Amino acid sequence: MLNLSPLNLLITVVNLLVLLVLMRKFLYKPVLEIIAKRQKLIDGQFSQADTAKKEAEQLKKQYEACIAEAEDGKAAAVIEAKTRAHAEYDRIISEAEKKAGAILAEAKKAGQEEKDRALREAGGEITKLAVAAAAKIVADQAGEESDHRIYDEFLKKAGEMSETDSR
Amino acid sequence: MSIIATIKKSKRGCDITEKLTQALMEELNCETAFTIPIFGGIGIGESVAVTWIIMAVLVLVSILVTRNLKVENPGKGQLLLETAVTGLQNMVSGMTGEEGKRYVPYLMTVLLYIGMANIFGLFGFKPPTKDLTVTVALAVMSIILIEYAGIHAKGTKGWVKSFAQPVAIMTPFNILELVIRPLSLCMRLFGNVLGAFVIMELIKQVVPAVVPVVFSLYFDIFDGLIQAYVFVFLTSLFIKEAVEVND
Repeated sequence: MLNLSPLNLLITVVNLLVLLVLMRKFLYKPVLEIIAKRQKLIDGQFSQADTAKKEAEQLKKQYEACIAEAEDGKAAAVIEAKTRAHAEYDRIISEAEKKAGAILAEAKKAGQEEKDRALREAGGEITKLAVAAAAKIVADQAGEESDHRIYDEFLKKAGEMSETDSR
Repeated sequence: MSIIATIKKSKRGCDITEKLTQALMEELNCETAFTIPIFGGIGIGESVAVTWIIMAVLVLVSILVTRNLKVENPGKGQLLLETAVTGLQNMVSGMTGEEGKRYVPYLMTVLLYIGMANIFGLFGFKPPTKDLTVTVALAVMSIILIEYAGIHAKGTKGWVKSFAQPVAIMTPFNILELVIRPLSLCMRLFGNVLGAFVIMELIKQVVPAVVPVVFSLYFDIFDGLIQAYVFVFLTSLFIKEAVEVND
Protein backbone atom coordinates (compact mmCIF):
# COMPACT_ATOMS: atom_id res chain seq x y z
CA MET A 1 0.00 0.00 0.00
CA LEU A 2 2.62 2.47 1.00
CA ASN A 3 5.61 0.80 -0.60
CA LEU A 4 7.43 2.87 -3.16
CA SER A 5 9.27 0.99 -5.83
CA PRO A 6 11.68 3.24 -7.72
CA LEU A 7 11.56 0.94 -10.70
CA ASN A 8 7.79 1.10 -10.99
CA LEU A 9 7.95 4.86 -10.49
CA LEU A 10 10.30 5.14 -13.42
CA ILE A 11 8.10 2.88 -15.53
CA THR A 12 5.07 5.01 -14.65
CA VAL A 13 6.90 8.18 -15.73
CA VAL A 14 7.83 6.52 -19.01
CA ASN A 15 4.25 5.26 -19.38
CA LEU A 16 2.88 8.77 -19.01
CA LEU A 17 5.30 10.21 -21.53
CA VAL A 18 4.46 7.43 -23.99
CA LEU A 19 0.77 8.04 -23.38
CA LEU A 20 1.31 11.74 -24.09
CA VAL A 21 2.94 10.93 -27.42
CA LEU A 22 0.26 8.41 -28.32
CA MET A 23 -2.63 10.68 -27.39
CA ARG A 24 -1.05 13.47 -29.36
CA LYS A 25 -0.71 11.26 -32.39
CA PHE A 26 -4.03 9.48 -32.20
CA LEU A 27 -6.42 11.93 -30.57
CA TYR A 28 -5.42 15.60 -30.44
CA LYS A 29 -3.70 15.82 -33.78
CA PRO A 30 -6.39 14.24 -35.97
CA VAL A 31 -9.22 16.11 -34.27
CA LEU A 32 -7.50 19.49 -34.22
CA GLU A 33 -6.29 19.00 -37.77
CA ILE A 34 -9.77 18.30 -39.01
CA ILE A 35 -11.07 21.38 -37.20
CA ALA A 36 -8.29 23.51 -38.69
CA LYS A 37 -9.05 22.11 -42.13
CA ARG A 38 -12.71 22.91 -41.77
CA GLN A 39 -11.86 26.41 -40.57
CA LYS A 40 -9.66 26.86 -43.63
CA LEU A 41 -12.41 25.60 -45.90
CA ILE A 42 -14.93 27.95 -44.35
CA ASP A 43 -12.56 30.88 -44.62
CA GLY A 44 -11.92 29.99 -48.25
CA GLN A 45 -15.62 29.80 -48.95
CA PHE A 46 -16.20 33.11 -47.28
CA SER A 47 -13.52 34.82 -49.32
CA GLN A 48 -14.86 33.13 -52.45
CA ALA A 49 -18.34 34.34 -51.72
CA ASP A 50 -16.94 37.81 -51.17
CA THR A 51 -15.18 37.78 -54.51
CA ALA A 52 -18.27 36.45 -56.24
CA LYS A 53 -20.36 39.17 -54.65
CA LYS A 54 -17.97 41.85 -55.78
CA GLU A 55 -17.96 40.44 -59.29
CA ALA A 56 -21.71 40.31 -59.36
CA GLU A 57 -21.90 43.90 -58.21
CA GLN A 58 -19.53 44.96 -60.95
CA LEU A 59 -21.57 43.08 -63.53
CA LYS A 60 -24.72 44.68 -62.22
CA LYS A 61 -23.17 48.10 -62.65
CA GLN A 62 -22.16 47.21 -66.19
CA TYR A 63 -25.63 46.03 -67.02
CA GLU A 64 -27.18 49.11 -65.54
CA ALA A 65 -24.90 51.28 -67.65
CA CYS A 66 -25.81 49.21 -70.70
CA ILE A 67 -29.50 49.54 -70.02
CA ALA A 68 -29.22 53.30 -69.50
CA GLU A 69 -27.36 53.58 -72.78
CA ALA A 70 -29.98 51.50 -74.55
CA GLU A 71 -32.71 53.67 -73.09
CA ASP A 72 -30.99 56.79 -74.40
CA GLY A 73 -30.65 55.16 -77.81
CA LYS A 74 -34.28 54.19 -77.75
CA ALA A 75 -35.43 57.72 -77.02
CA ALA A 76 -33.24 59.05 -79.83
CA ALA A 77 -34.59 56.40 -82.16
CA VAL A 78 -38.14 57.28 -81.26
CA ILE A 79 -37.48 60.95 -81.91
CA GLU A 80 -35.81 60.16 -85.19
CA ALA A 81 -38.61 57.85 -86.22
CA LYS A 82 -41.13 60.52 -85.34
CA THR A 83 -39.29 63.11 -87.42
CA ARG A 84 -39.05 60.74 -90.29
CA ALA A 85 -42.68 59.79 -90.02
CA HIS A 86 -43.59 63.45 -89.97
CA ALA A 87 -41.55 64.12 -93.09
CA GLU A 88 -43.09 61.11 -94.79
CA TYR A 89 -46.53 62.28 -93.78
CA ASP A 90 -45.86 65.73 -95.16
CA ARG A 91 -44.52 64.25 -98.36
CA ILE A 92 -47.47 61.91 -98.80
CA ILE A 93 -49.99 64.68 -98.10
CA SER A 94 -48.35 67.08 -100.48
CA GLU A 95 -48.11 64.37 -103.11
CA ALA A 96 -51.75 63.50 -102.62
CA GLU A 97 -52.67 67.15 -102.84
CA LYS A 98 -50.66 67.46 -106.00
CA LYS A 99 -52.31 64.39 -107.46
CA ALA A 100 -55.73 65.59 -106.44
CA GLY A 101 -55.01 68.93 -108.06
CA ALA A 102 -53.92 67.22 -111.23
CA ILE A 103 -56.97 64.98 -111.27
CA LEU A 104 -59.21 67.96 -110.66
CA ALA A 105 -57.55 69.94 -113.42
CA GLU A 106 -57.87 67.00 -115.76
CA ALA A 107 -61.49 66.57 -114.85
CA LYS A 108 -62.11 70.24 -115.43
CA LYS A 109 -60.36 70.07 -118.74
CA ALA A 110 -62.39 66.99 -119.73
CA GLY A 111 -65.59 68.76 -118.71
CA GLN A 112 -64.69 71.78 -120.79
CA GLU A 113 -63.94 69.63 -123.77
CA GLU A 114 -67.25 67.81 -123.42
CA LYS A 115 -69.05 71.10 -123.18
CA ASP A 116 -67.28 72.40 -126.27
CA ARG A 117 -68.13 69.22 -128.11
CA ALA A 118 -71.76 69.45 -127.02
CA LEU A 119 -71.89 73.07 -128.10
CA ARG A 120 -70.34 72.22 -131.37
CA GLU A 121 -72.83 69.40 -131.86
CA ALA A 122 -75.65 71.71 -130.86
CA GLY A 123 -74.41 74.27 -133.38
CA GLY A 124 -74.49 71.54 -136.06
CA GLU A 125 -78.09 70.64 -135.21
CA ILE A 126 -79.18 74.26 -135.32
CA THR A 127 -77.60 74.64 -138.71
CA LYS A 128 -79.40 71.47 -139.83
CA LEU A 129 -82.66 72.80 -138.42
CA ALA A 130 -82.15 76.14 -140.07
CA VAL A 131 -81.49 74.40 -143.36
CA ALA A 132 -84.57 72.19 -142.89
CA ALA A 133 -86.69 75.23 -141.96
CA ALA A 134 -85.47 77.11 -145.01
CA ALA A 135 -86.26 74.14 -147.19
CA LYS A 136 -89.72 73.86 -145.70
CA ILE A 137 -90.41 77.57 -146.28
CA VAL A 138 -89.22 77.31 -149.76
CA ALA A 139 -91.31 74.20 -150.35
CA ASP A 140 -94.57 75.46 -148.78
CA GLN A 141 -94.52 79.04 -150.11
CA ALA A 142 -96.99 79.84 -147.36
CA GLY A 143 -97.99 83.27 -146.15
CA GLU A 144 -97.11 85.22 -143.14
CA GLU A 145 -99.08 82.81 -141.01
CA SER A 146 -96.98 79.87 -141.99
CA ASP A 147 -93.90 81.92 -141.51
CA HIS A 148 -94.88 82.47 -137.93
CA ARG A 149 -95.65 78.81 -137.42
CA ILE A 150 -92.31 77.76 -138.86
CA TYR A 151 -90.55 80.26 -136.70
CA ASP A 152 -92.29 79.03 -133.61
CA GLU A 153 -91.50 75.45 -134.49
CA PHE A 154 -87.89 76.30 -134.94
CA LEU A 155 -87.74 78.07 -131.62
CA LYS A 156 -89.49 75.23 -129.92
CA LYS A 157 -87.08 72.66 -131.35
CA ALA A 158 -84.12 74.79 -130.51
CA GLY A 159 -85.44 75.20 -126.96
CA GLU A 160 -85.95 71.47 -126.56
CA MET A 161 -82.44 70.79 -127.75
CA SER A 162 -80.88 73.24 -125.48
CA GLU A 163 -82.94 71.76 -122.67
CA THR A 164 -81.68 68.25 -123.37
CA ASP A 165 -78.14 69.61 -123.68
CA SER A 166 -78.19 71.36 -120.42
CA ARG A 167 -79.65 68.34 -118.73
CA MET B 1 -24.55 -21.05 29.88
CA SER B 2 -25.12 -17.44 28.95
CA ILE B 3 -21.45 -16.63 29.50
CA ILE B 4 -20.39 -19.34 27.11
CA ALA B 5 -22.83 -18.05 24.52
CA THR B 6 -21.48 -14.56 24.90
CA ILE B 7 -17.92 -15.75 24.52
CA LYS B 8 -18.90 -17.77 21.48
CA LYS B 9 -20.66 -14.80 20.04
CA SER B 10 -17.72 -12.46 20.60
CA LYS B 11 -15.38 -15.05 19.16
CA ARG B 12 -17.55 -15.25 16.06
CA GLY B 13 -17.55 -11.44 15.88
CA CYS B 14 -13.79 -11.47 16.08
CA ASP B 15 -13.69 -13.98 13.30
CA ILE B 16 -15.83 -11.80 11.05
CA THR B 17 -13.73 -8.74 11.79
CA GLU B 18 -10.55 -10.67 11.17
CA LYS B 19 -11.91 -12.00 7.91
CA LEU B 20 -12.94 -8.54 6.84
CA THR B 21 -9.55 -7.14 7.72
CA GLN B 22 -7.84 -9.89 5.83
CA ALA B 23 -9.99 -9.37 2.75
CA LEU B 24 -9.48 -5.65 2.96
CA MET B 25 -5.72 -5.95 3.27
CA GLU B 26 -5.70 -8.23 0.29
CA GLU B 27 -7.54 -5.65 -1.72
CA LEU B 28 -5.34 -2.86 -0.48
CA ASN B 29 -2.06 -4.57 -1.23
CA CYS B 30 -0.32 -3.48 -4.34
CA GLU B 31 0.90 -6.78 -5.54
CA THR B 32 3.47 -7.43 -8.14
CA ALA B 33 1.46 -8.40 -11.15
CA PHE B 34 4.21 -10.36 -12.84
CA THR B 35 7.96 -10.47 -13.08
CA ILE B 36 9.91 -9.99 -16.27
CA PRO B 37 12.71 -12.55 -16.09
CA ILE B 38 15.58 -10.29 -17.13
CA PHE B 39 18.17 -8.47 -15.03
CA GLY B 40 17.40 -10.85 -12.22
CA GLY B 41 13.66 -10.31 -12.50
CA ILE B 42 11.87 -6.96 -12.86
CA GLY B 43 8.80 -6.85 -10.71
CA ILE B 44 5.99 -5.12 -12.56
CA GLY B 45 3.52 -3.64 -10.12
CA GLU B 46 -0.19 -4.07 -10.48
CA SER B 47 -0.59 -0.36 -11.00
CA VAL B 48 1.82 -0.39 -13.92
CA ALA B 49 -0.02 -3.30 -15.52
CA VAL B 50 -3.36 -1.50 -15.10
CA THR B 51 -1.76 1.67 -16.48
CA TRP B 52 -0.82 -0.26 -19.57
CA ILE B 53 -4.39 -1.46 -19.91
CA ILE B 54 -5.63 2.13 -19.50
CA MET B 55 -3.16 3.31 -22.12
CA ALA B 56 -4.27 0.57 -24.50
CA VAL B 57 -7.92 1.46 -23.94
CA LEU B 58 -7.30 5.19 -24.43
CA VAL B 59 -5.30 4.64 -27.62
CA LEU B 60 -7.78 2.12 -29.02
CA VAL B 61 -10.73 4.38 -28.28
CA SER B 62 -8.85 7.30 -29.82
CA ILE B 63 -8.14 5.36 -32.98
CA LEU B 64 -11.74 4.16 -33.14
CA VAL B 65 -13.31 7.58 -32.71
CA THR B 66 -10.91 9.38 -35.05
CA ARG B 67 -11.57 6.98 -37.91
CA ASN B 68 -12.73 8.65 -41.13
CA LEU B 69 -13.21 12.13 -39.76
CA LYS B 70 -14.85 14.37 -42.29
CA VAL B 71 -14.13 18.01 -43.01
CA GLU B 72 -17.57 18.56 -44.45
CA ASN B 73 -20.85 17.33 -42.96
CA PRO B 74 -19.42 15.73 -39.82
CA GLY B 75 -21.66 13.19 -38.14
CA LYS B 76 -23.07 13.47 -34.65
CA GLY B 77 -20.30 11.34 -33.21
CA GLN B 78 -17.61 13.48 -34.77
CA LEU B 79 -19.25 16.67 -33.53
CA LEU B 80 -19.38 15.22 -30.04
CA LEU B 81 -15.71 14.21 -30.25
CA GLU B 82 -14.68 17.64 -31.54
CA THR B 83 -16.68 19.35 -28.82
CA ALA B 84 -15.11 17.10 -26.18
CA VAL B 85 -11.53 17.61 -27.37
CA THR B 86 -11.83 21.35 -27.91
CA GLY B 87 -13.78 21.69 -24.68
CA LEU B 88 -11.05 19.88 -22.75
CA GLN B 89 -8.42 21.98 -24.47
CA ASN B 90 -10.23 25.23 -23.73
CA MET B 91 -10.75 24.22 -20.13
CA VAL B 92 -7.08 23.40 -19.55
CA SER B 93 -5.70 26.32 -21.58
CA GLY B 94 -8.05 28.60 -19.66
CA MET B 95 -6.34 27.45 -16.47
CA THR B 96 -2.76 27.72 -17.72
CA GLY B 97 -3.23 31.06 -19.42
CA GLU B 98 -1.85 32.24 -22.73
CA GLU B 99 1.83 31.68 -21.88
CA GLY B 100 1.30 28.15 -20.67
CA LYS B 101 -0.44 26.92 -23.82
CA ARG B 102 2.42 24.64 -24.78
CA TYR B 103 1.82 22.47 -21.70
CA VAL B 104 -1.85 21.89 -22.53
CA PRO B 105 -1.42 18.53 -24.33
CA TYR B 106 0.45 17.09 -21.34
CA LEU B 107 -2.15 18.33 -18.90
CA MET B 108 -4.95 16.97 -21.05
CA THR B 109 -3.22 13.61 -21.13
CA VAL B 110 -2.81 13.61 -17.34
CA LEU B 111 -6.46 14.55 -16.94
CA LEU B 112 -7.57 11.71 -19.21
CA TYR B 113 -5.23 9.27 -17.49
CA ILE B 114 -6.20 10.12 -13.90
CA GLY B 115 -9.87 10.26 -14.83
CA MET B 116 -9.69 6.87 -16.47
CA ALA B 117 -7.57 5.45 -13.63
CA ASN B 118 -10.03 6.62 -10.98
CA ILE B 119 -13.09 5.16 -12.67
CA PHE B 120 -11.24 1.97 -13.61
CA GLY B 121 -12.27 0.55 -10.25
CA LEU B 122 -15.73 0.15 -11.80
CA PHE B 123 -14.40 -2.49 -14.16
CA GLY B 124 -12.94 -4.59 -11.35
CA PHE B 125 -9.40 -3.30 -11.59
CA LYS B 126 -7.50 -1.74 -8.75
CA PRO B 127 -7.18 1.91 -9.70
CA PRO B 128 -3.49 2.71 -10.32
CA THR B 129 -3.90 6.02 -8.49
CA LYS B 130 -4.43 3.95 -5.35
CA ASP B 131 -0.75 3.06 -5.63
CA LEU B 132 1.50 5.68 -4.08
CA THR B 133 4.11 4.96 -6.75
CA VAL B 134 1.82 6.31 -9.48
CA THR B 135 0.77 9.45 -7.63
CA VAL B 136 4.37 10.18 -6.69
CA ALA B 137 5.36 9.77 -10.31
CA LEU B 138 2.58 12.14 -11.38
CA ALA B 139 3.51 14.70 -8.73
CA VAL B 140 7.21 14.54 -9.56
CA MET B 141 6.43 15.08 -13.22
CA SER B 142 4.17 17.98 -12.31
CA ILE B 143 6.80 19.77 -10.21
CA ILE B 144 9.45 19.20 -12.88
CA LEU B 145 7.07 20.60 -15.48
CA ILE B 146 6.23 23.60 -13.28
CA GLU B 147 9.87 24.47 -12.68
CA TYR B 148 10.75 23.80 -16.32
CA ALA B 149 7.96 26.16 -17.37
CA GLY B 150 9.39 28.79 -15.03
CA ILE B 151 12.89 28.40 -16.44
CA HIS B 152 11.56 28.41 -20.01
CA ALA B 153 9.56 31.59 -19.47
CA LYS B 154 11.97 33.61 -17.34
CA GLY B 155 15.39 32.15 -18.12
CA THR B 156 17.55 30.47 -15.47
CA LYS B 157 18.44 33.78 -13.86
CA GLY B 158 14.87 34.95 -13.70
CA TRP B 159 13.81 31.59 -12.34
CA VAL B 160 16.39 31.72 -9.53
CA LYS B 161 15.43 35.30 -8.78
CA SER B 162 11.76 34.36 -8.65
CA PHE B 163 12.46 32.48 -5.42
CA ALA B 164 13.07 35.79 -3.68
CA GLN B 165 9.77 37.22 -4.75
CA PRO B 166 7.69 39.03 -3.77
CA VAL B 167 10.09 39.78 -0.85
CA ALA B 168 13.44 38.26 0.06
CA ILE B 169 12.13 36.84 3.31
CA MET B 170 9.85 34.56 1.34
CA THR B 171 12.81 32.64 -0.12
CA PRO B 172 12.76 29.71 2.36
CA PHE B 173 9.06 29.25 1.86
CA ASN B 174 9.40 29.38 -1.89
CA ILE B 175 12.08 26.70 -1.71
CA LEU B 176 9.93 24.62 0.61
CA GLU B 177 7.14 24.88 -1.94
CA LEU B 178 9.27 22.81 -4.30
CA VAL B 179 8.60 19.89 -1.96
CA ILE B 180 5.24 20.87 -0.54
CA ARG B 181 3.49 21.28 -3.85
CA PRO B 182 4.19 17.84 -5.29
CA LEU B 183 3.73 16.27 -1.88
CA SER B 184 0.27 17.80 -1.50
CA LEU B 185 -0.62 16.92 -5.07
CA CYS B 186 0.35 13.28 -4.73
CA MET B 187 -1.05 12.80 -1.24
CA ARG B 188 -4.36 14.44 -2.08
CA LEU B 189 -4.89 12.17 -5.03
CA PHE B 190 -3.61 9.08 -3.26
CA GLY B 191 -5.62 9.74 -0.12
CA ASN B 192 -8.85 10.39 -1.95
CA VAL B 193 -8.62 7.37 -4.17
CA LEU B 194 -7.44 5.13 -1.32
CA GLY B 195 -10.18 6.38 0.96
CA ALA B 196 -12.82 5.86 -1.66
CA PHE B 197 -11.42 2.44 -2.40
CA VAL B 198 -11.43 1.38 1.27
CA ILE B 199 -15.00 2.54 1.77
CA MET B 200 -16.12 0.83 -1.40
CA GLU B 201 -14.40 -2.41 -0.37
CA LEU B 202 -16.00 -2.25 3.07
CA ILE B 203 -19.43 -1.73 1.55
CA LYS B 204 -18.83 -4.56 -0.89
CA GLN B 205 -17.82 -6.88 1.98
CA VAL B 206 -20.96 -6.02 3.93
CA VAL B 207 -23.55 -5.72 1.15
CA PRO B 208 -22.32 -7.29 -2.04
CA ALA B 209 -25.22 -6.23 -4.28
CA VAL B 210 -27.15 -3.07 -5.31
CA VAL B 211 -25.96 -0.82 -2.48
CA PRO B 212 -22.37 -0.52 -3.77
CA VAL B 213 -23.70 0.81 -7.09
CA VAL B 214 -25.12 3.91 -5.43
CA PHE B 215 -21.94 4.60 -3.49
CA SER B 216 -19.85 3.78 -6.52
CA LEU B 217 -21.51 6.63 -8.39
CA TYR B 218 -20.10 9.03 -5.84
CA PHE B 219 -16.80 7.47 -4.83
CA ASP B 220 -15.67 6.08 -8.16
CA ILE B 221 -17.14 8.40 -10.75
CA PHE B 222 -17.79 11.76 -9.11
CA ASP B 223 -14.87 11.84 -6.69
CA GLY B 224 -12.59 10.19 -9.24
CA LEU B 225 -13.27 12.79 -11.90
CA ILE B 226 -13.14 15.63 -9.37
CA GLN B 227 -9.72 14.47 -8.19
CA ALA B 228 -8.46 14.26 -11.77
CA TYR B 229 -9.70 17.78 -12.36
CA VAL B 230 -8.21 19.07 -9.11
CA PHE B 231 -4.82 17.57 -9.88
CA VAL B 232 -4.70 19.12 -13.33
CA PHE B 233 -6.22 22.37 -12.12
CA LEU B 234 -3.56 22.83 -9.43
CA THR B 235 -0.72 21.86 -11.76
CA SER B 236 -1.94 24.35 -14.38
CA LEU B 237 -2.37 27.00 -11.73
CA PHE B 238 1.25 26.51 -10.60
CA ILE B 239 2.41 26.59 -14.22
CA LYS B 240 0.49 29.80 -14.80
CA GLU B 241 2.14 31.27 -11.73
CA ALA B 242 5.57 30.07 -12.88
CA VAL B 243 5.33 31.52 -16.39
CA GLU B 244 3.96 34.85 -15.25
CA VAL B 245 6.66 37.45 -15.86
CA ASN B 246 6.22 39.97 -13.08
CA ASP B 247 8.58 42.88 -13.42
